[in-house]
Amino acid sequence: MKNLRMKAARAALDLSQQQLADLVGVSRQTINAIEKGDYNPTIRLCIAICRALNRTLDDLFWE
Amino acid sequence: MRQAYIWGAAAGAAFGVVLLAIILFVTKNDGSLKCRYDERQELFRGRGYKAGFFTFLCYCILYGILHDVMEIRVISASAAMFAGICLSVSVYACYCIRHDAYLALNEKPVRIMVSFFLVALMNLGIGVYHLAQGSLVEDGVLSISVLNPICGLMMGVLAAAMLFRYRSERRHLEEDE
Repeated sequence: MKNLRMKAARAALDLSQQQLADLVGVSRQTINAIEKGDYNPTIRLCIAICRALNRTLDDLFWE
Repeated sequence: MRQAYIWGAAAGAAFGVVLLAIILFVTKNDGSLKCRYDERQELFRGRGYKAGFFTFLCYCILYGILHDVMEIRVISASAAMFAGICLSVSVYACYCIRHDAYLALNEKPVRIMVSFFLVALMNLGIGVYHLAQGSLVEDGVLSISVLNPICGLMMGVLAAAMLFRYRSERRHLEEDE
C-alpha cells in the first residue's frame, strides 16, 4: 500500500527522495520503495524518517 | 618447473589482492574499505545470495549428470567449477543490481562500472591471446585457459547491467526534479 502521507510530508519540507535518504542514512531507492508501498521499513527506520520529517509515527505509518 | 608455476601463481594472487584493495579504496566515497548497506539492501542481498546458491547447486547437479552419467565432456573439471562459480555470482549480482542492492551507500557507481569494464576488457584480451595461441582447447575439451574469457564475459554482463540500471536511475532523478 502506498505511503502518500510520507510523500506529502516530504514534499511539505521541499525535500527530494535523495535528500531525505541522505538525512536518514539509506538509499534513495529505499525511500522510493517505502513511498510506493513495495517495502515495509523496520521500526528503527520509521523512527528515523519521522525525525527527519518532524512527524510522529502515527502521522506517517499508522493506518 | 613446478616451483616456478607455484611462485608465478602466488605472485599473481598477491597482485590480485593488491589490485582489489586499490579498487575497493578508490571506489568508496569515504575512503574506507567497508561497504555500508541499508536494511532493504541487506534483505535483497540475502535473497540474491539464495538465488546464487541454488543456481550453483543446480549447475553442479547438471554438470555431474553430463560428466559422469552421460559422459559428455566438453570442459575440464577446474574450468567447469570456475564457470559454475561465475554463473552463480552473476545470478546473485544481477539480482542485486535489479533491486538496487549491489552498490553500497558509500560507493561511487561510475568508478565501479569503469573498473568492471576494465577488468572485462583485460580478461577478454587474455582470452583472445589464448585463442590465438590455441591453448583454449586441449585434448578436445576446454582447458583452464577458458577462465579468462568466462570471467571477462561475467564482468562485461555485470557492467552492462549496472550501466542500464544507472541510466534508469538518472532518468528517475531527472523526473523527480
